[in-house]
Amino acid sequence: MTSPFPTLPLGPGVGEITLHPLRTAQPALQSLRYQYPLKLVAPAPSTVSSPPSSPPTTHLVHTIFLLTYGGGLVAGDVISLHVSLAAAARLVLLTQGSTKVYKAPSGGAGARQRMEVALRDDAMLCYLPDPVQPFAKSAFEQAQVYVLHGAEASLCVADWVAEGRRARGERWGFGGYGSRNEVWGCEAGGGGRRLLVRDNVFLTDKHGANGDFAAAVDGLGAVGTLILGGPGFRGVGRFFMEEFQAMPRVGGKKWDGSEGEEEETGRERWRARRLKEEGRDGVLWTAADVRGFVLVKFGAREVEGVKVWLRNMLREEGTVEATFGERALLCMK
Amino acid sequence: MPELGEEERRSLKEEISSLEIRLKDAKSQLSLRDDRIESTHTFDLGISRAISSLPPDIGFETLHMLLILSDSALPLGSFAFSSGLESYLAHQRLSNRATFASNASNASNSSAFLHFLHLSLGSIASTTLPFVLTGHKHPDQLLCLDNDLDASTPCTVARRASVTQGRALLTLWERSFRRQHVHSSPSKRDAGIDALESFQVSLREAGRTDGRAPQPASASAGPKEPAFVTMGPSAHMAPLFGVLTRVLGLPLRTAAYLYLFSHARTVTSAGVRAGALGPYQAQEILVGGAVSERIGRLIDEGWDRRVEDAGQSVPAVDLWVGRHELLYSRIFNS
Repeated sequence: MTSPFPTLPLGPGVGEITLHPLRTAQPALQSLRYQYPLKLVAPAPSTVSSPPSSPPTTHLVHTIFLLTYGGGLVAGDVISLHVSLAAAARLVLLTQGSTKVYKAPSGGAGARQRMEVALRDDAMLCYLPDPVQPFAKSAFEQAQVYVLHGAEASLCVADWVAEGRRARGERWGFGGYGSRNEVWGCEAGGGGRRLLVRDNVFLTDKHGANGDFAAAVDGLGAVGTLILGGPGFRGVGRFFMEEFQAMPRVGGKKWDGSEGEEEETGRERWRARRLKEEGRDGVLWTAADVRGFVLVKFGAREVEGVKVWLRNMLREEGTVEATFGERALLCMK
Repeated sequence: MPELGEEERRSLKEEISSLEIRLKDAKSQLSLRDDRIESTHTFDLGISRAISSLPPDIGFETLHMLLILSDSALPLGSFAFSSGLESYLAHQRLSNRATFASNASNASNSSAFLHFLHLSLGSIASTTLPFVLTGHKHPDQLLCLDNDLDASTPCTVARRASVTQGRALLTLWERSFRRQHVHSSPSKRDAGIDALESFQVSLREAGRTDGRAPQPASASAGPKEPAFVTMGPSAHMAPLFGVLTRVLGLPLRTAAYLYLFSHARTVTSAGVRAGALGPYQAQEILVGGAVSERIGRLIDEGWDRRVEDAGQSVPAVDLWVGRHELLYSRIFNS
């Protein structure tokens, strides 16, 4: 049977985002296509001016919401999104609420999602979505593959999962969940590509915790990964590393600053406040330099705790908002 | 014992036949490679519970190697690593203190340890066992395996532990095992030996040109060459373990069992030194059926897992291991 839409050779759930320079110097949205059940919404691009210290330049920042009809994925849904970013492109990808994954019929296939992003030259991507929220007895698998053409491309991407519908007592009650994030480096001139970072997490029946997913996450309500890489986010990466090193020692005496209050810098005051929030929300995190990328692993008792913490960290450092505008942190609100 | 139902009988039969196929596979792999190993009885610990009808015999040569490699005195420095146990116990104490100020008794300590061991074995099997298996089966892919495992190791502490022991394994090969194996059968040299030799060459070259670790920002002083082009090998433990056990004549499943068993033994011994267990308790745990059963099952589940699909099945382990650096006092390096 021939497709009734010959001009749109996309399969179900397939989407395409292309940010390439047209006639103007600024990259424009050359193509934005999608098919049910995937939906892409692109509000008008915003203009962000560089920090006042550098010569006054402005950048066009494109924002695209990744949505699904019905606000979630049902068993059998397959989403496949291709994103291509040319030089100087700045793209913010957002979600509108958590990605819900509905119950799968027993034994049937779950939902799958794959996103492949190619970044050329100094393209920048910021993808700080809401968490995936797999409901009880759902099955979901996703992959985010970032291909860097050259070492000037930058990315700041998060990927996290929550326990389900807490209000209904769902605590990691799904059948299976898996999410992988890969960063590949492509040598200029079409040489081979090399795996730079792979972050693959899966919670399935057989492996690891023997189906006891709550134990596998040590009772946390949400866990995830933040990957920072490229010259555009090097400062953010360094910030996370420094803040990690500056954490109070586990099992040491608590110095909560009640005594001998000497002159604190603004940063120290901020840190003390943040640490208090981390304690309150049960936030646990670590940061590591993995081959020039900074990988941040985090978890908290509840989704909200992660949002508060991550927004706080990124706002204090400042680069993400300065580069992409406030909207980049929309999902962390 | 009650009579087996028809259903159970059939599923048991299916299991036996699938295990027999795997046994045959392992044997044929073994006989393909080396005339040195005469034994046709591969003592496969991983499925020992199911093959009790086979003679529990093992060629002396393989047995000898197995004993050497399972010795905790093997100079790999494994005793310095607790694979997150120390950090786990510290965090455990912290949350106990927060919830119901209970001074952790001995009993709760050991049950916490068992819980950790269970999770830790699952984690090590899902993250690195595929690299052991593939290293054993395809030693020519060693460099690529090393790169991919390096890319997949999300934390500094775990990387340090893996690379330290991987390099120690290479040194062990070079100083203790190499001479005998390189000269033993020059005509039919195992592919694993070539893999180890050329890996060492590239490791030395990388060490000579750009130091050990890739320097992300500072190294780009010269021409604008992407950092990832110049990255040298790291020498992670798992793939080297696979290649080395192959060269030393251990069958695939035995090597896999040895790998996971060594992990269990190392973590348990760390448990003793961290004061979570008594020495007799530790032996009781290792002897107990739960550990061997868990290892056997993890090998079965991971048997066909591709390297690309290796990953973390216990996210909490990443947090514990990563936060080891934050411990106020430490007796281990991981």
